[in-house]
Amino acid sequence: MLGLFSFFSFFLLLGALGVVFSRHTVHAVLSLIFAFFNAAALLIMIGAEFVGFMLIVVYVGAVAVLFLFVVMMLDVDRDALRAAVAPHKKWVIFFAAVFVIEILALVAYHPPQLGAGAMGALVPAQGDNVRALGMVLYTTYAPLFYAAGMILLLAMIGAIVLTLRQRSGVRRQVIAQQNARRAEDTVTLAKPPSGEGVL
Amino acid sequence: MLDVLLQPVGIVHYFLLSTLLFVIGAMGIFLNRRHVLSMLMALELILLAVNINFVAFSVAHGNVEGQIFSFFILTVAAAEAAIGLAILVIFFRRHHTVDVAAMDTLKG
Repeated sequence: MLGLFSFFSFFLLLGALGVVFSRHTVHAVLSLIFAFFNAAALLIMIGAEFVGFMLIVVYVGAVAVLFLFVVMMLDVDRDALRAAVAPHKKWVIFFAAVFVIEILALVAYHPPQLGAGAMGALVPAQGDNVRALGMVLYTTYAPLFYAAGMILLLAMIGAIVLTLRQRSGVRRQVIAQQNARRAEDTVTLAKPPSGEGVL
Repeated sequence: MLDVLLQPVGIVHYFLLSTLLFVIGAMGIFLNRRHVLSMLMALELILLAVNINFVAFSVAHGNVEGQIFSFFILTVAAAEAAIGLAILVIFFRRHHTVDVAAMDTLKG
C-alpha cells in the first residue's frame, strides 16, 4: 500500500510543481489535470471512491476544460509576468521550506491521537461508500445540499451575465418593436404612372 | 526491501502529502503573483490539499461527514473557478493583460 501511495503522491507533487513552474500556461493546465488524476487515485485507495470520481468529473471534466478555454482565449506572456517576481523567488522557497519544517516538527512532537486507526492503517470502511454518503447527504445535510445547488446556479448565471457581450453595430431582432409596427405607419401605397417607376 | 512497499498507509502520510501540496500551491500564488490565471490554478491546488486532508481524516475517524464537507468545498471551488475565469475574461477584454498590477481601476 505504501508503494502505491508513494507512486501516486510522487506524481501528484510532480504535477503540482508543473502547475507552478511550467513555462507555458497550457502545460500548467495539463499538469493540473495530471495532478487531479493522481489525487483521485489516492482517494480511491483509502475507500473514498465517490469523492475520487467526483474529483475527476468536476475538475478534469469541467474546471480544467474551462481553464483550457480561457488560456486559449488569452494571449499572455507568462515569462514576462514572472520576471518581475524573480528576485523574491528564493525568499518564497525559503518560507515554504520553513512552513513544511514547522509542520513536520509539529507532527513529530504531537503525533495525532485520533480513534482506533490513527497511527495505523487507513482502512476503507466496510460496505458501500456511495450509499453511506447518500444516507447522510440527503438527510442531515439536505438544506446544505440545496444551498450548494443554489450556489452553482448563481455561479452559472453570474458567469453568463459577466461574459455576455453587447456588440454595437449588430442588427438583432427586437420582437416588441416588430409587434408594435402598424401597417399605417410603414406601408405607403404608390400609384406610379406607367413607364416612370417610383421615385 | 519489498516489505516497505506493502506497509499500510496511515493518516500521517496523507497529512504530510496534503501539507506539501498546500505549500506548493501557496508558493505558486506568490511566484506567479502577477498572473491571475496561474494564481487561480495554484488556488485549485490548495483546495485539493484541503480536500485530501478532509477525506483522509474522515476515513481515519470512520465518519463520512468529512467527505460530505469535501463535496461542498468542491462545489464552491467550481463556482469560484467559473466566476473568477469570467471576471478574468472581461478584464482581459478591456485591458489586454492579466497582470495583477494593472488592476487599479477602483483607485479612481
